[in-house]
Amino acid sequence: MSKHMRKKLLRRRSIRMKLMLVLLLSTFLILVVNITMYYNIGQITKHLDEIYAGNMELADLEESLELLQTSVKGYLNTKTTDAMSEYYKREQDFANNVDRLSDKVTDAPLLLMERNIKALSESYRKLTSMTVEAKRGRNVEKYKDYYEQSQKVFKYLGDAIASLNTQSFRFNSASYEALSVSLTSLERISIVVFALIGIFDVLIVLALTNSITEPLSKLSEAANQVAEGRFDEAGKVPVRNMDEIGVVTVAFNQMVESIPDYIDRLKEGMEKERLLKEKELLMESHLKDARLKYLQAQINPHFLFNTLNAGAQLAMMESADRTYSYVQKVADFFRYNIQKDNDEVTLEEEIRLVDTYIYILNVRFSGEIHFEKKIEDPSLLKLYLPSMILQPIMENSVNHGIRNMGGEGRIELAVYRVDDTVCISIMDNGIGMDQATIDKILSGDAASGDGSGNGVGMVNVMQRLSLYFEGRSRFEILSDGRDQGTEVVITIPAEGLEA
Amino acid sequence: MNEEKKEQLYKEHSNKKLIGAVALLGLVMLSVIIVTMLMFRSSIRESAALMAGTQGQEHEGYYVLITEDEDSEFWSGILEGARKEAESRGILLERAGAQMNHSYTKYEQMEMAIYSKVDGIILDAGEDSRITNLIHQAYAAGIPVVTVRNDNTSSERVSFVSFSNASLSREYGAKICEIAREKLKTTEGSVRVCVLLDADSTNSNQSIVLTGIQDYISNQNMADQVQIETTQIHSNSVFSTEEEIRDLFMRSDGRIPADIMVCMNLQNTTCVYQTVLDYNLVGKVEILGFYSSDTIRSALEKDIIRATIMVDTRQMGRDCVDALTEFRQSGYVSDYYAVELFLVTSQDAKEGARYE
Repeated sequence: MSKHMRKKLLRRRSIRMKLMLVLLLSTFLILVVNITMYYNIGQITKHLDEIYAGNMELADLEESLELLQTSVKGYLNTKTTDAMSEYYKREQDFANNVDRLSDKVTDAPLLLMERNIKALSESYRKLTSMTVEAKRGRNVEKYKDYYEQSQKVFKYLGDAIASLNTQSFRFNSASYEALSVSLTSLERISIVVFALIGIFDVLIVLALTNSITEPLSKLSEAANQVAEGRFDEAGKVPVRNMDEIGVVTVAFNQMVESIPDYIDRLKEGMEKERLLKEKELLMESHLKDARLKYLQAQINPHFLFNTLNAGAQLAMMESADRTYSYVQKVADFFRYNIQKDNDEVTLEEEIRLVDTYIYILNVRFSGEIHFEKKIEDPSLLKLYLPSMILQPIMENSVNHGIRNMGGEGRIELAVYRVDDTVCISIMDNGIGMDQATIDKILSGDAASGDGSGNGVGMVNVMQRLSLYFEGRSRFEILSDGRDQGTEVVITIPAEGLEA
Repeated sequence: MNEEKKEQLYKEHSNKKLIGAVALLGLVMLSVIIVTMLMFRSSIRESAALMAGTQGQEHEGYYVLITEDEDSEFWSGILEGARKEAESRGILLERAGAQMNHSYTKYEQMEMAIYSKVDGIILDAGEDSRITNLIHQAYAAGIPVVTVRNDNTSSERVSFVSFSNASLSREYGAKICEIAREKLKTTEGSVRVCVLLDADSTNSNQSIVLTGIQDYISNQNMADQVQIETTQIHSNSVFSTEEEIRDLFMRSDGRIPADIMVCMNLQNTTCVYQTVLDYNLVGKVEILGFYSSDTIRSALEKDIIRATIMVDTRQMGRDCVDALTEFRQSGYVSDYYAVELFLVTSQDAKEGARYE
């Protein structure tokens, strides 16, 4: 459908058009009825006029008859030319009047009387003319005879006209009565018809206003529901007509349909933002937590570090190389914590810290711990991960795995790649642990509450790993049971590495 | 929402039904109004036209019936028969001067009919020179005249329709003889018969009938036992008939005027019947009537009237029209149309036989 045509369609069904139609329709009806009424009234009036027209004509006829009779008498008395011309004039008048009468033989009484009057009139005219002729011819006997005859006919004619008058008056009265009854019934019919039209108009207006107000009230109902946030209940408002309200309704429906979408999108964005913020906050808090624990544990690392540095220099001055080395390592260990306040570190840096830690421990415990590193590919060391991950695990392995065992303690660190992930395994040959303990640790119940650890707890490590890698890291503890050793395997995605 | 969907939605929810219903209602109303108006209009026209007395069937010819006696059932019967016959031939038949305000004499009616140039006249004539002249005048004007019941033999009337006077006197005579024989069985002397004659009648019918009755009685060899008298009753002046008949009974000084009263027309019959009833003479005075009416019928059934003469008046009417029409068509017509008559006795009336 072309745009123009659609516009036309809309215009056709507009409320204005509807109102116009209703107005036109009722006006047209009233007009038709009025015209018919007036036409009928006109007809009745015409009939009423006709009724008396007949009587008037008869009066004319009677008058012209009288005049003719007088003129004949006048001529017979005087025989003047004037009387003669008067007679001809009257004769013509009378003939004209007579011509109007019906000459048909019918069983309608009035028409039959007219016919008789006409015939009598013709006889009368003939007789008078013969009388006048005879008078002109001075035939006294004849004209007297004709005159006598014409007198008789004159009498009969007068009687007949009077009778017709009486009869037609009788009929006319009845006719008048019938017509006046008709007029009364016309009055009643018009009242009924106008009442009908009135009812019809009211019905049309009701239907029209209903078609306007009903969609409006539905629209406002739906708008109220929308205002209360009940988008689903609001549903779709039905469009009855593509009038002005229809157009508004269609727009409203479109609006109601699009609002939930918009809200969903808004919600999604807000959720994402919220998650991001939450993660940031958590990371921060965990790091802070770890640092706090170090600070608590190591009173003043800076002081200690400076002290240790001074010790190392002292040892170097005294040429105590081993002491120097030892103190230097201890200083390195603390420096890592102080310097690496960044979140991210490379795996290499982490492993270096572990090396330092093991060296310190070995000095402390006279080389009891055998630490081995198996790096599959040095490039794996470039992998980034949160700081302070490996050292706490190592500390756990030492404290809980091999400290209390008899014999030589071994710790093996392996870094290797499996598909898209990099595995960091820390395995000891210590006392091992049962499955219940493993589950306990993994579920986070065995927090650093036992007090034996001086560092960051396993739970903290696990949470930071998970947060950093957004849940894509894996943290496993494997042990075959008592005295069978423990292996901690961290699996992280190999992102940022060349394949 | 795209345009198609809008259209669809519109189609689904349009209130086409409502619009349709309103339109239908409008149409129905309009047609009701129009039909009512049309009906009303035609009713106006009909009533106006009918009331005006201007609608009627056209006829080819116009006959008039002229009689002196306007109301009697005898003439009504003739008029009815004639009218029906005329109607079937497309001719209008009226009593002369039926629509006029005044009533007119037979002569005046004749004149009016002639001057009105009717197509034919059925006339209850009588042997009267004035009537003869008028018939001549009509003849001269080309209007055929058929006489009925009372003829005018010397005129140019084209035909005469009546029953036979001989038959009438035979019927009367036979009945008089029968009653006389009955009476003579119980009483001595002779039986008096009074024949009421119309004093104003100008025709010879009644004298012929009277002679016929006398002849019949003589032939029956009862002339000695039956005395026939006549009484003249005037019929022309108003109410005279009734007065004179009543006088007839009062003048008799307590005696009955006659044993048998013979009436030759319907009016006399009715008046005599009523007087006999009033003077309590039922059974003493026997009445022989002429023609019939409701009164006479019941009188017959009650035996107050002994017998009456019946004529098929409708047939008479038919014959008149027949004669006129035949004359107009061919110029010739049979001179005399005889109509049968018969006697209806009280016995017949009781049995409902031979009675129309």
